Order: sequence, then C-alpha cells, then structure tokens
Amino acid sequence: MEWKIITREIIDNKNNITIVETSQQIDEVGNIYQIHGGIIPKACQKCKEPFDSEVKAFPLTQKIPYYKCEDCEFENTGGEATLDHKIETSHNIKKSTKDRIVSLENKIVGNKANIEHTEDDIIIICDRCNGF
Amino acid sequence: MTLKKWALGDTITERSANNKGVRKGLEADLITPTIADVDAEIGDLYFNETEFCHQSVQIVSGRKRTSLRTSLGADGTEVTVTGTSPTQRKDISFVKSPANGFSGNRIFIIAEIKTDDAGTTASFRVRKNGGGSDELVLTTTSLTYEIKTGSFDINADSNGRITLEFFMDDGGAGDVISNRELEVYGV
Repeated sequence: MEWKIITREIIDNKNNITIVETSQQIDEVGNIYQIHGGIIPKACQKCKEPFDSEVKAFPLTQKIPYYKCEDCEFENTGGEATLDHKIETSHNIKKSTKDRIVSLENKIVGNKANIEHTEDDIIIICDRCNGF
Repeated sequence: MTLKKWALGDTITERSANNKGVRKGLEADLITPTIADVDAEIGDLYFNETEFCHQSVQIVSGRKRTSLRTSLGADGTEVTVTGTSPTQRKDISFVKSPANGFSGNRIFIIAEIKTDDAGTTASFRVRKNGGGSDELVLTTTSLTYEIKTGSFDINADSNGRITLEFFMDDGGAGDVISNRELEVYGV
C-alpha cells in the first residue's frame, strides 16, 4: 500500500505560501501512520471496508461445589452449613458443581484491524480478509 | 513573542519582529541552527508541529525545550494477554471541562510494550468510552520492552467524563504481549 506524507500550507508574513511535510503519513483508505509508530486504523487496505468491531463483556467463571437437598428446598455452596443440615434433618444431600462468575472481562469482537509490519510497509487488514 | 522593553525611538527590525519569541514549526524548524542562538532566549514559546504541543525554551544552547502537556493519568503495573483476542487490561479516565478541568483536544499515549514472539506483531489498542473502533494502535515485534507513542484527537467529544480503555493482543495463538509503563497526556 502506498503511503503519502500529509502536507499542509503555511503562509508567512509576506503572504508567501510554502508546502511543508507533517509528521504523519496516510494511505489510500485513510489509515494514518505517525512519526513515532502510532497507527490510527480507519479501513481495511484490502476490502476498503471500515473496521466495525465492538467491545463485549465476557464472564470469567469458577467451578464451585453445590449442595442440593433431595428432601427439602435446602441448597448451599458451603460444606459446613450443608453438613449441619444433614446432621439436623438426616436428609439426603446431592453434591455437584456450578459455575460462579468471578468477574467480567472486556474483549473486542467483530471486524477489527490487524496490523503487521514488513520491511518496507505496514499492512492493515480486517479480520475477514485476514481469514479469522 | 519574547517580551522586550521598548524605548522611545527603537526601530522594529525584521529580526526583532519575526525571529523571536513565539514560533510555530516542525521539530526541524525549531532547532539550532534554523533558529540561531542569538534569536532564542530562555522562556521563548514554540508550538512544535511534530510533537504537537507547546514548548518552552529552557536552555538556549542546543535549544533544550520542555513540552507543555497535562498529565491525565498513568499506570505502571505489568499486565499480559495471551493470544489473538484483544482483551482489556487497563483503563484511565479524566474529565474534559473548559471551566475547571482538562480542556484540551488531543491525547498522547506512551506505553512500554513487548512480545514473546518476534515473528508476529503484537498490538496495544486504545479505545474511548467503550466505543467501537480503535482510536490508536501501538505495535511491537520486540522481545524486550520498548517505548511506543502516538496521539489522537478528542475535539469532537462533549465535555464530561472520558474513559480510555487499553486492550492488547498478539499475532499468534500462544503468543504473549506485555505492557508495563502507561502514561496519558493531553494538550
């Protein structure tokens, strides 16, 4: 992909117009490459489509023990309380496990930018064109 | 402009009118010898178009300047992400407020990042207000920490709380990207 240095006009106090080069480059689809390496992705260099990813929260879960009484409504995740219930009532307890949400983790899903540096270029393509 | 005491009868020359004090230009325009030492003084204000910030001259020789930026937050905790799915590891927020808070229009990000696989490109993504696109992406193929920087505009954002979310991913399924220092500045 061809990158062009972004230029701008400056006018001095004698109204002379000079074209100067800025510290940013832009490719054909609007992606910007900054002098210190920062990239502002706008669109896929291959299919030209703008990136359309989003952030979604995914739960991080943990397996915990789960005790359910087969003779009444008692249920608990603690072994000590369950043992007390069993001793006091002589009910039958069924032991299993369940998932507990520990926290939520934000991830980017959708058609995001994938950036790869080559010797003389920067490739910016979307997930679809990248084969994801 | 450098503030000079003017006396009755002083002549305003081109040098005194144009070569002093307040100047705008790319980094190459602001250094010696483009601006000669005789035309610079401690305290002169420049606008550096390469670094996109105001700068004040501190040492004339070599034109040592300090950048006038506002620190909006930092997080030096080391964090990692394994694999190709971009996952959030840090966030920093600030309030855009012309009255009492930060009232600038451009955000600068500085991050130390590295990967454990030099054959793939690892990405450090900056998002804003939980939004649907990367505001800025910093990349690395380095096996040791390197400092990466970039900037983006927030001039279209309304006043109020702005959150920046920082996501990371690496190019291979088992590859690990790490981030240590993270600093956010605004102008």
